[in-house]
Amino acid sequence: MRAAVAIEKLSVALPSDGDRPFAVEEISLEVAKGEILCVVGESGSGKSVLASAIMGALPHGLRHAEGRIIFGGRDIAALPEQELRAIRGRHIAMIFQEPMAALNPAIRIGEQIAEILEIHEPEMPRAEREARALALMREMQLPDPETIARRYPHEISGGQCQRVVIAMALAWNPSLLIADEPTTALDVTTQAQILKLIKALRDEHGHGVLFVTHDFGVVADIADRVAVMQRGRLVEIGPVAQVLNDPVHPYTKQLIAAVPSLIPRARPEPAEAPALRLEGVSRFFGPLRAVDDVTFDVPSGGTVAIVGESGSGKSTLAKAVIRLLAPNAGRTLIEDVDFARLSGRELMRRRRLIQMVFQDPFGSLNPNRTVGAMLTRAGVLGGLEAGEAKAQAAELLDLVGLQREALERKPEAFSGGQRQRIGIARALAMRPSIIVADEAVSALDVSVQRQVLELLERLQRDRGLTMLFITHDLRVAAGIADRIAVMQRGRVVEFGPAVQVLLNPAHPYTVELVAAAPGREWQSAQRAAQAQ
Amino acid sequence: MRALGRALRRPASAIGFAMVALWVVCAIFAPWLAPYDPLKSQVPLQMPFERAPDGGVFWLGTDLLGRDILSRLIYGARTVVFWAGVAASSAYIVGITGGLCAGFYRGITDRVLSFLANVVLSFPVLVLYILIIVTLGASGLNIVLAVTFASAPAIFRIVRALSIDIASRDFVSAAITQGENAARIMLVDILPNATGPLVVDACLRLGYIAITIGTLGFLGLGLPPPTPDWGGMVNEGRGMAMVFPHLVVFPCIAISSLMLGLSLLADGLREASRAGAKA
Amino acid sequence: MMRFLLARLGEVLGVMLSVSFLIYLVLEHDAASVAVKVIGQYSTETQRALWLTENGYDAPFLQRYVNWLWRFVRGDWGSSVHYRELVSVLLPQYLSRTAILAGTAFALIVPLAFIFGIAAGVREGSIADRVISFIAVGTTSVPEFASAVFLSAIFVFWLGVLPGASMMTNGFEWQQLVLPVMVIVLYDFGYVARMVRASMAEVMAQPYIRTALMKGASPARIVFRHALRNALVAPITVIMLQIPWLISGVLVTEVFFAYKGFGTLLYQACLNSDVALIEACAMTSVCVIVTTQLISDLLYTTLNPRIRFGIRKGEA
Repeated sequence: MRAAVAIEKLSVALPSDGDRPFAVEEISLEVAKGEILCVVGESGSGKSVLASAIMGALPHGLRHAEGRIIFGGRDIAALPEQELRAIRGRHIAMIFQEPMAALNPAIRIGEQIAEILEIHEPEMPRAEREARALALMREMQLPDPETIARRYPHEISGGQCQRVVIAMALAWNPSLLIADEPTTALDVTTQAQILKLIKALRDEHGHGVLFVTHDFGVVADIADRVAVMQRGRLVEIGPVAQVLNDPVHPYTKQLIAAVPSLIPRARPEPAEAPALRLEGVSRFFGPLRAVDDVTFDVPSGGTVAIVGESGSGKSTLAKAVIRLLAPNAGRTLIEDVDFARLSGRELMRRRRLIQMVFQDPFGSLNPNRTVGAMLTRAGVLGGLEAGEAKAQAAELLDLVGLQREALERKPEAFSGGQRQRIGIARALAMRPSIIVADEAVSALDVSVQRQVLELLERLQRDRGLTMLFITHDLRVAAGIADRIAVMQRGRVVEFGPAVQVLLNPAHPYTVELVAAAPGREWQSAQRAAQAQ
Repeated sequence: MRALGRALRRPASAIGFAMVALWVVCAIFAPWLAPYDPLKSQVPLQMPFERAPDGGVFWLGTDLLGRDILSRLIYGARTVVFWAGVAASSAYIVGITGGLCAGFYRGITDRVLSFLANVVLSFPVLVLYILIIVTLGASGLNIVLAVTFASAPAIFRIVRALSIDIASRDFVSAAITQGENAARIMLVDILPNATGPLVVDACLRLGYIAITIGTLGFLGLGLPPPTPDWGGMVNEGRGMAMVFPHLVVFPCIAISSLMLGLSLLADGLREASRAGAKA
Repeated sequence: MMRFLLARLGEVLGVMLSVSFLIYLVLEHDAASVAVKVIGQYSTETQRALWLTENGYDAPFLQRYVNWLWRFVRGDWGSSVHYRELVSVLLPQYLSRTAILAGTAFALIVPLAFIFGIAAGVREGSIADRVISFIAVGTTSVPEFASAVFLSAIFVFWLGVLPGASMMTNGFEWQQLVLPVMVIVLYDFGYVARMVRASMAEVMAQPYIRTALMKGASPARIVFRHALRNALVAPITVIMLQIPWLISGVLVTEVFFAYKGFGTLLYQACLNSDVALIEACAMTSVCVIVTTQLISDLLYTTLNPRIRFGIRKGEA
């Protein structure tokens, strides 16, 4: 099969103040017509830069240093802008990560799709443009295309936006489609649908696809071949079955090993006495029932994972439990006292019992405070004297695996994973009995995720902590939870031991969630192979 | 502070900083820098570089009443820098306090404070000042009062918007879950993270206040004579400006350079904090 | 939408009422000094006492305020001590002259600011951007009285092509408008241009511009069909808010060129402690400001829903 695009020893230079000289260093690969090549890597691997380089769309400050990009017999890296424009959208198309942001908020959907037809064939009459736009929308399986065509981007869902973006990309039947993390910002069920769509379109039209992702599950589900990138270099490339099941390079092995399994590990049965009891907790925002009558117990020393997609109410529930919001109804019992109804000094006293670890490592620490100041203050608020609090701060850093010098530094000196550790140390500073982790690992790379999860588990064991873990990722829940609560539109639709919920789900929504998790077949095949 | 360092590396903002620093130095060290007493009448209407009776030189000439213009410029810097500084500080204290409370507490506090701010914001500065002058008379303190009134609501709005944005970040939620008290959250968590945009605003606002003081001086509504006042100097000299341009040119250059310096500095700081945030 | 409008109107009324109270409080709480200002410093105690009683100043403050407010709302604005005319006759005349001046300036500022601002913001950091930004910063640093002095020196005395004063004693002469308009435009267009530039630069950095680029759109199409629609919303509010500034901020220019506009009126009222005139001028400028704020809010909300993004992922 002829190659749709062939990249030869491509190098893209970073500006002089970057952490390395090249974003992409001497990469050579090919995408054949009709094949899906997945480019996998963690953040900072350069995979997005590679994708942008093909289209000549490098971000400001990065420049093409050397190498060729052969497309249609020509080196498009050397083409002037004007000729590149003729290729863009017509022969090579690109789709990006945030679908709603990728569409112009002030122009109607139909017009935006028709525009790509107008750009490359200005003589096409308007009626024909509009008809073709509608046909494209139908092919993308968008319901009721006529209505959607008249809408604006913020009036449709993220998944629908992505379908519109794909429609624009495939309007001219390009030979190459570049997809830069197109499903990362979508819910897992929507992701499954979009992946299916991309595969179906490729089967129908036969174009090549360069698919950038960080998720090996996605790779397992749609790739024909895989390329693994690390810090700008290509470390491994080959057919998907070979790379996933029999990786050669140590980095690839490390990445694949870090992918958590959907099967929950055997965990000791937690003590029966619940540390935290939720009874009929509800929170409304006007007519919207964000949290609707939630009832379950969290066993002492155990972990309950709350799983759901966006809009399920899981974050609102977390905030209600920890009293960042006040619940409208229901009780939150901690040590037999209704935490939801406390106020004033009683509330201040009892706040130390339940603490939170937040999602965004870059927003959860005050950039203007040193780590030491943060931890010491937390200790003081927890009832310690200033001197004791300072000593505890140092001990906490040891506990989470950071050097003591960190006390003098500000958050900007640390990586995402390290900041989450600091966040955990801060949460522990008040010696709580319950920790609420609100998507605490969602913003981290897969290998870092694993380390942080292991840290949390270790801390839980050593200190007998009770954990309430909010996540959208079933795999994370599988690795850490004793019990799982599945939320949909504010209600808990299923609650039970992790093993049961994941392997034998009762509620149809849970079934759908589990089925949508990418890479299931690959992982069960892996396990079957290991069992032998 | 680091933003300042970064900003100074760009030529434009370095020039701006130098201009501002020049006038601040003049303001502080006026008695030592000025060659003559700014209020002392010597030889009227001397052109620049003419000799003075005591053997020195009138570098920028003398005005209608024979006072050395260079000395009046230097002392005028003192007037402008001092009063603009005081007025700006007072406006910022009021605006920041209101803005932090409104942005953090929201609810009824926010609505009342915002309403008050809107009421005051409906007065243009000059109208406000005229009202004050008519009733209270012209003086430095009244200028401070008028400027505070006029600027505090705008600062309030800026701080309020910043507070709302910063309060939505997780580290503020963390402080709340730890039972931290409101005052400390506002002063330790919110305010330090708002200083970037506020400093940029402060530079520009100081400039506008300086111009307002100059304008009032020009209109004869400013500080009472014989206090050296750049705007007043332009007003006094404008009748003879064709024959003796030095009477008006130098004060105009003075005030324009101060404002230009502050603007360049503000731009540089803004770019520097954007670059810092991206890192 | 209706609810929003009514709520805002209510707020506007609340503001106007508070403002009127403040104005009256500041100017007339001390009845004795009002008498001095109206009849003059050389009047006797008895004359003042008589005048006070005749004009209802014996009543308590709040009642006086209500009476005044009632008269004011009905159009009875009193008499100017200095001009010896009904304020309700004076004010519209002078205001309309300022409207001509401000209107002309406005008509020049908007297109200039847009052209310069867009050219600068399209490619942030380019030569065009740097030059335009420098011009903008430079012009806004020169206060109006300074530029008035310089422009007069050039055009009136050196080149001799324009008149030095704009008193319009022989009816309307457009040459007398040129210098004042120049001064105003020079001072203000830089500020608006920078707002437009900032908005434009922000829009050009958005993801949907990249999408347009990936579709193969030409730079012209990107700027005119994609960027402008979104970039112009924020500057519109800024531009609306220039209008109240143009009404009262031009005071300096009017005084300098002896142009008989609203600013001169206010200035004279101030110098002469002309209470009734000050009250009316203050109320007028406040009214203009509040109305333009309301219109600008309305414009922003009607244009804005198209811009508002919705949902972020993981927010539930």
